[in-house]
Amino acid sequence: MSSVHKMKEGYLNILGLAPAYVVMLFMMVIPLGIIVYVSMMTSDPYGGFISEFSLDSFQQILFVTDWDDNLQLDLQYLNIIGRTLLLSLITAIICLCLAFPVAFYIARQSASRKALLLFLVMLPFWISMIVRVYAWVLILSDNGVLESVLSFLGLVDDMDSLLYNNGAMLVGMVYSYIPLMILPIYASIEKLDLRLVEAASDLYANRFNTLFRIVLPLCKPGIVAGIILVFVPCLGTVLEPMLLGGGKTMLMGNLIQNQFGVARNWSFGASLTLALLAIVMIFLMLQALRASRLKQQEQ
Amino acid sequence: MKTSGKALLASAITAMLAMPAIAAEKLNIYAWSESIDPALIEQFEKETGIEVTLDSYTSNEALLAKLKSGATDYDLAFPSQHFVKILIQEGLLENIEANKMPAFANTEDKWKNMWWDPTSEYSIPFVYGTAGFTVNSDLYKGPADSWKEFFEPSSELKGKVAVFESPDEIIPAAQLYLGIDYCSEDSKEMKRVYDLLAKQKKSVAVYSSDNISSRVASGEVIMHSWWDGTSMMARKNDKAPVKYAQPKEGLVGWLDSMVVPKGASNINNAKTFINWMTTKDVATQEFNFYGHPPTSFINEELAEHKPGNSPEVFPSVPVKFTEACSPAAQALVDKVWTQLLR
Amino acid sequence: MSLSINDAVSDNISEPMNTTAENTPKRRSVRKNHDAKHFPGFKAVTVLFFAFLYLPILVVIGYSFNENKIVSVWHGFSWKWYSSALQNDGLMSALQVSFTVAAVATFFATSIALAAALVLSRGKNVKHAPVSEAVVNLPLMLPEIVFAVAVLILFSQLEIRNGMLKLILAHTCFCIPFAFLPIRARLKGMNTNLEQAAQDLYAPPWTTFKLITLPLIMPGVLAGAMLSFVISLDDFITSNIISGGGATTLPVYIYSLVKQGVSPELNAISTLIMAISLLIATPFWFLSNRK
Repeated sequence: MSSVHKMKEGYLNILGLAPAYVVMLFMMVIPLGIIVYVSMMTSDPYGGFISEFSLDSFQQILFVTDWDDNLQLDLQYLNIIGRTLLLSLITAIICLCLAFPVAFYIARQSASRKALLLFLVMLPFWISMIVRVYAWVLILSDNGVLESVLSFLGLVDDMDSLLYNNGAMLVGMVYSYIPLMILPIYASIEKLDLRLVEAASDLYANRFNTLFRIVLPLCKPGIVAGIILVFVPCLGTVLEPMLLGGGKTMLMGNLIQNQFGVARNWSFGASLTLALLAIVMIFLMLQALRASRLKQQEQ
Repeated sequence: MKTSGKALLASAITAMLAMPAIAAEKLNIYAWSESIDPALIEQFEKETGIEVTLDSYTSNEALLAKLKSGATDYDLAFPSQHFVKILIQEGLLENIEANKMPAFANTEDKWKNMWWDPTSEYSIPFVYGTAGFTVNSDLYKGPADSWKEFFEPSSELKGKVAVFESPDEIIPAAQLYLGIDYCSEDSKEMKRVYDLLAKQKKSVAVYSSDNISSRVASGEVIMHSWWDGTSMMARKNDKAPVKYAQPKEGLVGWLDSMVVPKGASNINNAKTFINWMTTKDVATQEFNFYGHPPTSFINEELAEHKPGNSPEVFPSVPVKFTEACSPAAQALVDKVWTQLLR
Repeated sequence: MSLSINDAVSDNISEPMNTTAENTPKRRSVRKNHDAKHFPGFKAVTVLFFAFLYLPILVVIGYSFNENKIVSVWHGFSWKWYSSALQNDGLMSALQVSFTVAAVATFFATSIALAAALVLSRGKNVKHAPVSEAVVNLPLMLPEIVFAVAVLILFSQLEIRNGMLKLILAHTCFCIPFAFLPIRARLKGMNTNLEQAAQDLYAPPWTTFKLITLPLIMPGVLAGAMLSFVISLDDFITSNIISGGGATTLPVYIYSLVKQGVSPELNAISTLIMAISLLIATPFWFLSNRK
């Protein structure tokens, strides 16, 4: 190939990738840079920020100036961060426990049934998040559908509202993100060499051993992918705490959103956003480390 | 295959071309939730050919945050008096030379040139009212004549009290009850406010400014922060068993004005709307719908709400209007609220 | 680090393509002490799972036909909430905003994604290809709230006033990976013989692309376009934060209604938006399923 041709190819490569790079630069990289900048500025009490250097917003995550102007360790935001991590983790675990049997079952069906069942798994995912969360508001609210059904069956008289608590948020989160767990697990079960399972049963391993010693370890890549896909968006979830949590129990997502809304504390919002980002990065890095260690072991 | 790709492209391009076509005469209103009679909007669109879009908010803070976050493309908003002052200060409003508008002539003299807009260049007053609390009279037989019942509820009300989601009118109410001045910059005094609210929180079911009517009418909560006019409309329209309290310490007063946010694209349409809203018949119809008395002249004989049948909007206790707090006082208000809602 | 997510996502999107029966249970009918490939209870869990997945949706749809104003008390069948929804001005203008934004954002996102995917799959001597792939998929790595807050600050600093423009810019950005993945999967799975043949016959690259490559990857392009259209249409978090006058999207409008409480009209609106999403998403599924 002539060098002129080569140069042309090089230009084409650049030309083809340029738009994507430009969009990502202006819409992702620069804005993230601005977040870092804002987090180090002073908040304007009326909203927005003033270009005065200050690290108060980071300090605010851990400390509070009490009513006598003393700095005090304050765990309220760590609590919210902890609650977010915990609920996201529980969501991922519940999703995994539900998704694995379902994915396994689907993988054992005939080709056409597989396609249909996978379609049914994905279908709700294409419905607007707000509608899916609304469904749970409708079900769990005071005098809601669940209460009507239960009282019709004579099981309860008068229930307290099932909304506005951690449980309601958890149900909403599992419901919202579970399709993201099923698909990668399903993919790894599909790739599974079933002869290994048969070999295990030939060797009179019981079902329990086959499942936990053979199947689960072989599906690990899919399980890990599924956990990432559920856990990461859960960390920043906004709608579930706003509508199912009732504004009294916060998660990081709506805490951040509040700082840019009614609470008007942009710098603090920016530093919380960086904290969230850091958590995601640490999680993904641990994942990458583990993956590369595994690769090395294989070699 | 090819044709479908072209169809996709064509539809995308059509949609792009359609965009300027949509941009006929428009007016983007940002108003308090359910404050403007939809029938009036329709009538306005018909009379003027201006296409109105209406978004809503439920607190002055939400409005300030939205306007402060930069260009939002709203043409008309309805902040309360103290926020009008803050918005002018922050350079977030257009000077619409309000004092030269017909709407200014339609306004009752006692509402002109008030402290929040002394030269009446930025705002035209709209309606006024109070913030207090409402009780469900079927479920609550106790007294409702002091903020004490609201801020220090008896044990039977545990989990049955609901409070506005933002501090703007709650902290002044607490200050009325405690005998502290509005916009206090004294952190000892604000600590007392905080302590009161923190104690109250044990009885609070939810902090929300939405959906108040159904929450208190259904008995989901028994006591709820509310505004006079909306509480009255729930009683009159839906026959809800609600009673607006008249606390002897006083009610928190507010007056919403019509203002044009800086950089609005349809300033003239906004002014047309402002003028139209203050005409006698329109103002009367809006009064009948919203329940809050307009600041412009109305047709007395067509007004449905009269002192005899509307104790809510003709209060028997003193009313104290909220003030624009200094940044230091505002910071204390926000501090109370963030610590409360941890 | 980035790749783990990308791989996982592209697995999702491309997986349906190879759902052909390779490991059907019939292959060998050996009965041992038990059938090792079936675990008891998995079927029950699956049935429960689908009930969990679909009952809430059916509840929303079912009660949208309830004549009674109180959603949870059934009074009889009625279409009236649909007619009142369709006469709702706020809903109609939100619908218009959502569709315009989705159409324009999809057009740009798909074009950008197509160009990037072609370079990454067919370009010769592409430097730092994994980095570029990660860049294209950047929006998938962040929780959406981070992106939403970031663009809010960006737009407020640039003082971009036009609400539609803001929505279109933001939606274009986060739709790019969703348009990219199906196209990339299609290009990866495609046999290059035809393109090679055209090149051997000295067809200029553009002609090869127009006559051979583009028609072959069209299902992928369409799938990507539909996916990004649905993603844009359904987006709440970003749209809610940057929405302004005259630029309220459907999900943001629905949110304002949900805050005001449950109502049958809201159910009707939800059912309508579900129907729209599914109408667009179902062809996507079958396109990307096609060999």
